[in-house]
Amino acid sequence: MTNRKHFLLTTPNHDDTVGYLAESCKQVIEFAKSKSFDIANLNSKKATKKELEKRLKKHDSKFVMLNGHGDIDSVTGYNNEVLIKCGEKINLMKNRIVYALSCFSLSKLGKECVKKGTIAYAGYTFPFMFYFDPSRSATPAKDKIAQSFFVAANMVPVSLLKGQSISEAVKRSRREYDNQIEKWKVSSSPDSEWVVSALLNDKTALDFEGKADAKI
Amino acid sequence: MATQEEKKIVLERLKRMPPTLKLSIGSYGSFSRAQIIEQIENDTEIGELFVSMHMKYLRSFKEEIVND
Repeated sequence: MTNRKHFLLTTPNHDDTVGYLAESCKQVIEFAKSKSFDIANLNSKKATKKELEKRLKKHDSKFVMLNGHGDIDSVTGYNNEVLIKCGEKINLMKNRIVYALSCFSLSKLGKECVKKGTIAYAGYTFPFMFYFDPSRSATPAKDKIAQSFFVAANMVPVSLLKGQSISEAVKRSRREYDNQIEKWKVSSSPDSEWVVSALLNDKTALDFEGKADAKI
Repeated sequence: MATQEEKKIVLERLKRMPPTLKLSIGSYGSFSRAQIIEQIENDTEIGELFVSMHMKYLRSFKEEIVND
């Protein structure tokens, strides 16, 4: 029986937006490996409800990161298949710490999850937005504009994987949003105003529900 | 709900947005400058979201001045 902790994430990639999210998670996955986590990455077509249930049953992951489109009461996977939704399958997230890089889901789904036994749920209360350079959409890792958003957004899972509490993880992510905002503010780039406004949006939308001292 | 004044301010600022930039807004999709302008002018949900976001950013400068 292994004492290694388990980290499960979904990384659908069926459109530009989730493609960027999936690409940005490569660094999170590498970091998790360096911290000796066992990882189940439900990538691309594997980001389905059936596969999510199967893997959680097998591994009982303490930490789950859901990347994908979302709404106030649901988070989706590949081809926008609903993975969890208020009133459906919320018990899948019981006794886990969840981070949803997804629009809106903290505002209702996150709260419902915590009421039904999720230890803590971090996410966004309104749309997560990011600017990107369309000429880089085939190679998101080289998109310096989009990277500013994901460096900050992924500070939540990275901090949790380091052993920080969820409240500290969210604080660190917000600080990184501030760092990115300052970097763009002093830049002479014509993109600056737009990137800063969306970074500010995302920083404001990020929060958590559940036990503030929850750790993986 | 965004006021006409706020929409006017944001539309004016949008003239300076590089046409090469695109904004991703979750499942709503990705939008170029021209598409954002169209959404605002057509009073859509996306238009409202964008105006709200950008007005918060512009107001944040006022707060910085007041707090300095």
